[in-house]
Amino acid sequence: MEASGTTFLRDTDVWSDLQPVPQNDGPNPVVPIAYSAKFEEAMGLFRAIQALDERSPRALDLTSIIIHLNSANYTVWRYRRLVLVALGSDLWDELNFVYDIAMENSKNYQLWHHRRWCAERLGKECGDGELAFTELSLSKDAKHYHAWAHRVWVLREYDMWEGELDFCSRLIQKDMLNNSAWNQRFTVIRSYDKLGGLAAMLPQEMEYVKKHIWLDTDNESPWRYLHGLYNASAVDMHARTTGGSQPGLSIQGLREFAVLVTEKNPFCVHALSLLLDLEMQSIVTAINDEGNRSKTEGGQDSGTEASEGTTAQLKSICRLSIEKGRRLCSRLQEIDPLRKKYWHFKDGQLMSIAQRWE
Amino acid sequence: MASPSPSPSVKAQAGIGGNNPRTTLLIDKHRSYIKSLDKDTQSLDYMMTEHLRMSGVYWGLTTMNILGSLGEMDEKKVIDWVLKCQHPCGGFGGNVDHDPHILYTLSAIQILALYDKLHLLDADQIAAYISGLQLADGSFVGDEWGEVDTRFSYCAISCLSLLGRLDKIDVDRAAAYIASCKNFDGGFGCTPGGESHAGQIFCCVGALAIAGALHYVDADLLGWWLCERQVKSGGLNGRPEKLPDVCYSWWVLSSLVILDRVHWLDKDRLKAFILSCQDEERGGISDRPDDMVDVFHTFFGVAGLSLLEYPGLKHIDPAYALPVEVVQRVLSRQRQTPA
Repeated sequence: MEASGTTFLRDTDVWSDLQPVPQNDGPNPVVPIAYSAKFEEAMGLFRAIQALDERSPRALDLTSIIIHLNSANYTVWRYRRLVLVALGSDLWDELNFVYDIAMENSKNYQLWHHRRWCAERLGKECGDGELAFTELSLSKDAKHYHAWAHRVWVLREYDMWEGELDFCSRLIQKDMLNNSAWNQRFTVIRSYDKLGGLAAMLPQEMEYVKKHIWLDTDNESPWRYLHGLYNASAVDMHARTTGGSQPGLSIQGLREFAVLVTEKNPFCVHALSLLLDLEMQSIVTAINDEGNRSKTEGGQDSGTEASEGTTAQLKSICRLSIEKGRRLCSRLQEIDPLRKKYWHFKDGQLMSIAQRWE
Repeated sequence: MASPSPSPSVKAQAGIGGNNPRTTLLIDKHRSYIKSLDKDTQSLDYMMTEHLRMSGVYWGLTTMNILGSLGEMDEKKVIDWVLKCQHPCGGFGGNVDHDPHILYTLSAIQILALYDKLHLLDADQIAAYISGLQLADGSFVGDEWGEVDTRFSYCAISCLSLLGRLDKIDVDRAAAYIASCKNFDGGFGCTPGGESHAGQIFCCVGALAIAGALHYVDADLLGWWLCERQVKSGGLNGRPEKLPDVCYSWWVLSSLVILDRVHWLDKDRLKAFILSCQDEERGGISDRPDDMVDVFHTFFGVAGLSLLEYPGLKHIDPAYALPVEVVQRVLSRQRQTPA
C-alpha cells in the first residue's frame, strides 16, 4: 500500500475505523502543527494504532509509509519491530525494505540499527549479503560512518575477515585520502588472527604505507597509519620483554624515509613531525641507557674515568638530538602556523629535557 | 586538505559602511531566533524533528542560558512537557508518545538541571533504568533494542553523575569499554574498531573525565589529532579530509579543553569561522557560511565561542555541556545531601 499521488489514507477502507490522534508537540501546543497534510495524517493514524497497540499487517504498512517520509523517527522503527515480531514476518523481506529506504537516504542511526537487528536474527547466513550491502553504501559514500560500523560488526560477529584486507586495499587504491579505509586496515590487522598479528604484517605494511605516503606526502591518513604501526610495534616489543628486532621497523629506515620525503616536499608537516618523534626517541633511549648503566654499576665505578666517558658520550648524543629537535620545532612553527602552539609545546618538552641533563 | 575558505555572502559583504556584521556575535538575533523556534512550526525541519524535540529544547535552552537569557523562556510549560515525556520505567522519550531512550533521558535531565528542578525526579528510579542498560562488557545500549555505542556510555555516565548515582553502574567497566574503542591515532570510535570521529571522541573523553578515568587517554597524541582538525578556513572538521562544520567547534574544542590543550589550535581563526556562519538577518548559526541555520549548530557555535571565552557569554562546562554555574550548583547540592 502506497500513500502515493493525491490519495489520502482516510479515503481508503483500511483506515476508516480509526480517528487520527493530533500531535501534542512541545512546549507550545497552541500552535497547529504544520505537517504536510499526508505526513500529518499518517502520524495521526500511527498515534491511534500505537494507543490501541495494534500489531497488524496494516500497522506494518503504516510504518512503511511513515519511514519513507521520515526515516529518522525512532519510535516508528521500534513499533515496526514489535509488529514484525507479532506477525512472525520474514526478515529477509525486511532486509529488502531497509534496502529501499537506504537507497533514499542511509544517513541515520535508526535504519542501521534496524538492519542490524534483522541480521542478528537471521544469523551467519546473511553475512555475505550484509557485506555486499555495506559495500554498496560505501560505493556511494566511502566514509559512511554507519556503513563501516555495520561492516565491522558483521566481520566480527560472523568471522568473515578473510577478504577484508583486499577490500581495504581496493578502497585505498580508489581514494588514498579515505581515512575510514585506513582505519579499517588497521582493524583488520589487529583482528584477523590468520594474518599473524602486527609483527608478522609489519614489513609488508611498512612498504605499503610508505608507498602511499610517497604518492601524496600531505595525506594525513597514511602518516597516522605509519605512526600507529610504529607505536603499536613499540608497545608489542615492550610487552614481549625479550625485545628482539622488528623486521621492517628500523629507526634508521624511518629516518631515511622521512628525510627523503622532506627533500621531495620541504613543507611536509608529517615528515618533519616524524623526524621530531625520532629525535625524541633517541633522547629517551639515551636517558634510559644512562639510567640502566648507573643501576648495573650500582654506583661502584661512578666517578671513574670510563663511567664519566660513557655519560659524556650519552650526553653528547642527547645534546645533538635536542638541537636537531629544536630546529625541527622552529621549522614546524613556521610552516604550520595554525598549530604553532603545539609545536611550541614540543619545543618546550625538548628544552626541559635539555635543562635536566645539564 | 579540503578546506574551502569562507565565502561571505554578497549580502554580508554589502553590510552598512562595508562592515561585515559577521565579525561579532549577534546575541540579540540569536535570542530571537531561539525564541522563534517553537512558533515556526510551518517548517519541514520542525515536522521531521518531532521525535528528538527533547534534545532540540535542550540545545535551545542551553544556548539561551549561555546568552544570559534563559528567563525569557516559558519555564513552566517546558518543565510540564518534559515530565510528560517520562515513562514508567524512568526513561524519557524524545517527545510525548515517543519511546524512552537514553539520549533523550540525558537531554531531559540536562533541561531540569538548567532550571534547578532535578528534585522533581525520582533519581533512584532513573538510575535503575540506566543501570539496566549496561552490558557485561561495560558498554551501554540506548534502549531495550540493543544498539551499542560509546555515545550511550557518555549519556549514562553524565546522567548518573548529575543525579549523584554513579555508584549504580560499574564505572570501571564502563571506562574500560570506552578504552577498548581507542584507536591507533589516539581517537575513539563508536564501537571497537570504529574510526575516530570528533563527536565520538567528545563522548568518550567527556565520559572518562566525569568518571575520573582520563588516564586511558593519550592526551598528547589525541590533542595533536584534534588540532589537526583545524583547516585553513579556521573551522574544524570531524575526521581527516572532511569539510569543516560548526558542530565540531564543540566536539573538538570541548575535548581539547578537558585535556587542557585547547591553546594548541588557532582560537582566533576558529572564532572568526564560527562567526562567519551566523545568519545576520534571522539569527542562528549554520554548519558552514551561508547554509541554513538550525538549533543544533546554533548551540554548538555559541557553546564553542563560550569555550573560547568570547566576551559576554557564560562559561560552559566541557564535559557536561551545561553552563559551569549549573554544574557547580548540581554537584554542590549533592555534597550537601548525599544520596
